[in-house]
Amino acid sequence: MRRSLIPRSLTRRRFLWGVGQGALLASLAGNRMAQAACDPATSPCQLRLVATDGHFALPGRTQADAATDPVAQEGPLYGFGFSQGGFGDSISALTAEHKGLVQWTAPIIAVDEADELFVTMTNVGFQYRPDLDDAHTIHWHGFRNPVALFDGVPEVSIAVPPARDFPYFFPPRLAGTYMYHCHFEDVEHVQLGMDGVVFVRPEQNKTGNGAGAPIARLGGNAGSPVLGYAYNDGVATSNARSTAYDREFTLLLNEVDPRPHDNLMAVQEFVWSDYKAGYWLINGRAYPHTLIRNGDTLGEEELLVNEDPTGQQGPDGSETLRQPISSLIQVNEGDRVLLRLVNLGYDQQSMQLASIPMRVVGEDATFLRGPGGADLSYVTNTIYIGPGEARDVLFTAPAFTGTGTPDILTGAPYNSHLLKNRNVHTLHNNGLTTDGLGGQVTEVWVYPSGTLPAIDPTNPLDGPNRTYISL
Amino acid sequence: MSSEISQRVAPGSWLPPAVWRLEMSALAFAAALGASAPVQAAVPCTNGPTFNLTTATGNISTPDGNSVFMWSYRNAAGAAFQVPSPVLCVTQGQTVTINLINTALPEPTSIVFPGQTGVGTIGGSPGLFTSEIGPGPGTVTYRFVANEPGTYLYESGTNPHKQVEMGLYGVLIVRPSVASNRAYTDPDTLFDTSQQYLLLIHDIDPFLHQAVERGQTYDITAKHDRYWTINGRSFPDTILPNNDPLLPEQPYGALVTVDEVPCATPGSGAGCTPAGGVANRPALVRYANAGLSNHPFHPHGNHLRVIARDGRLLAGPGGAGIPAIAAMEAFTKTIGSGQTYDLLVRWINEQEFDPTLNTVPVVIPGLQNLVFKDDVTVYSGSPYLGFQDELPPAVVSSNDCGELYYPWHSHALNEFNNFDEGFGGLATLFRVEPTGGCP
Repeated sequence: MRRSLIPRSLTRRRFLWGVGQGALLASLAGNRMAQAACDPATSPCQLRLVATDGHFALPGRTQADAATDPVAQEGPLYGFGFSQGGFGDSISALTAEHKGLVQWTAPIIAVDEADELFVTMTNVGFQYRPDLDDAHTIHWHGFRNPVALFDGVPEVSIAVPPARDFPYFFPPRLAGTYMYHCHFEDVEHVQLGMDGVVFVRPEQNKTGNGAGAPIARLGGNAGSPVLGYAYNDGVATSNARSTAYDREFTLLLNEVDPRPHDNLMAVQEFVWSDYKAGYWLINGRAYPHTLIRNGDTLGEEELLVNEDPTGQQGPDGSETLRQPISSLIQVNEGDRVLLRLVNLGYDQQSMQLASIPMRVVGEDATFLRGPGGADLSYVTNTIYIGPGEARDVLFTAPAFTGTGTPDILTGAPYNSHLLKNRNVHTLHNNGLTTDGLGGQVTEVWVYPSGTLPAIDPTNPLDGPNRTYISL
Repeated sequence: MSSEISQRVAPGSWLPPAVWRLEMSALAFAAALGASAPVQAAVPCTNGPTFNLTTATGNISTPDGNSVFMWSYRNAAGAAFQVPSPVLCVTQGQTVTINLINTALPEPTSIVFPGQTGVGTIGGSPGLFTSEIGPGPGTVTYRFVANEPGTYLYESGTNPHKQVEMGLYGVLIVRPSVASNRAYTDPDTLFDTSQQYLLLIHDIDPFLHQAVERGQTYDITAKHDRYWTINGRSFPDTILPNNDPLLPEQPYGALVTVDEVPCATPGSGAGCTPAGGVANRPALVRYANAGLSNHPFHPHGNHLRVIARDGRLLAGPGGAGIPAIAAMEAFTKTIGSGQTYDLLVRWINEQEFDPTLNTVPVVIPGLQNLVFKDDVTVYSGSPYLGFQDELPPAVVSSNDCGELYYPWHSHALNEFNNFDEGFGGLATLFRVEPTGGCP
């Protein structure tokens, strides 16, 4: 590997402290929600996902690297992905708007238990490999008892060729965290980036329970002290086994072996049993990009890519953000925090939050409750998670220590807790590090009580992975 | 990557051209399907409690047209070379005797029984882990009482990094003494005895096998798996039936077939509770990982109910209480090297889609607007269980009666491959038939 050069401007300081005028600019730009938005005109939820190709930025593989350092690498990495389109848009309109513009990772999808989800997936084809006629599918991984037609496996049902779409129907019955991905030539399409988180919120949000858990804010009770529940736990919110939470974050883990990505752009084959990761990502970003907040346009500059990875201007001359989902976990002291962890990489991982005890309450969308209601949840600092597995994890944010780092964007002080992959040999970005770190690393920032506003489900910005660039 | 253009290059000179192998993918799937749909593969027991095993060498075939040199144990009484070694079945409480002869291998070998206690040996010569035998005439005998029901591995205890990789492994099933239709003593482990399956995982570095075959040295630190097998076969060969003549050295299939379980009250929608009764008992699936890596194994179709690990019931807190099983559902289970799991699985027809009474709530596009991978499929043409519909003329389907299929595969997707050819390797299919099964 010829990676002796440290990329321009890639320092942790840039993301944590911004530059002088960063706070003002960022606050003007505003926040942005990471969750896919249902079509507002319809109920139940209807979504449009667009399958295409494009590029995304990794440390050492940014637009700036390609422009200033052609020796270092080939610029942004090639990939496939899903992005969200207008539910009622025509295929030609979606093609014009989305072709060659992937989102990494795919939009977060949230749905309520016993509700219904309609996802129309449109394949607009590849911008950069027009010789390929790959079809795509959506596989809801872990969906119980689907019919084969909606399970998204091309060899045992159907796949969707370019310039066609298909209406998937999902009526989820049981709460928990799941994932979705393309199953067409899946070793390639999943590695290339067609993966996302889908989760099901429990009925208890809407009904509360007789044991002392009120209807949650997510269930429509605007004044509720509880944002939501991870599962239908059936206990009072004061009970140690309650799954009530105040903030929720999805963390999709995967890895990138850059060779198949580069080979595809170079019209070359890859031997898939050669797979060996070089990047380890959370929500499609490597540290320190994981810390860039949603809507922090200054920080996001590092992630912008052109349509053309050689640095030439694309069709409309614009640079766009393809990796919009922050992994920064901003909370107030005492907050009950839900982490929805999903592994769609090909390697087993071990995620460690060394300074805050975590309680695993769900595995593979199964509430850890045994016969007779026995509590099978467990407390740990390290979450071991295999490919295709999911974990629902709760922690209570520790007290603010009284002195903390000032947050340049919000102005408020905070304490930082590192959430990292304990397979520490992965803590680099294809051989590069930033301040000695890289890979699957993010941080939990704990602010003094009352610093961050409570999550308001009626606010369109207040979805999962809510971050704050201003208060 | 799906292209009409053939610009691929062969990664190694000893391999057939990549283009040819790409075509093999479709051909292998078509060949595996044959003229009719796959049929279920029940656990093929060799019943004990006394077993006479002898070492053997031979070759297995992989779906991409390669073959791999293997070592294994075979039943001594004139039986053929087979991978994996025989499935040894006994009943709890029996005294199990295994007589091992080793005339086939160029070096000593032995068998160890992880999870069995008090294993005694007769004959042979002392080895690092247990008594060894051969090469040449003579017999070593291993004897133990199978005290605990469950699923266990047996494998070589001599040069295991080489001999286990070469294929000296198998499964021992201990049935509970109380009843043969339970996986364990606990009545909550009742299963449908016509639906019992073994999925025995192994991983293969063909270059190590080639070196052993040619008597060359090999670098164990360079082990790099290229093939992954279930019951000695790589997908799509895994869905062929037991004793398929196409695979004479790999007699065990891995297709998991169940009947749908209907809702207790038809039309109950989201309130569907599965119907009870003997016919709706779950299938029992036994996982065993004889490979040297951990494998995240993921069924489509439904969660699995994990009831036991390494031959021990997952007991509730304190081990008491009724029911005693702290079974957990999972949509992926990472099976550690050397581990076993026992799982119950059902497919519950909770959506109750029906072409007249309850149609799917979307308009399905004309099927000619969609893609059937390589024009070879097991899809019925209909979203409705038990119904078939017309497929585009170019598509060849092997669907019997409107049954549904789901993959059941490693989610380390680099293992869902035969060397460099996708939709292969560590995978099988889950077949769901309408109530009563296909006619």
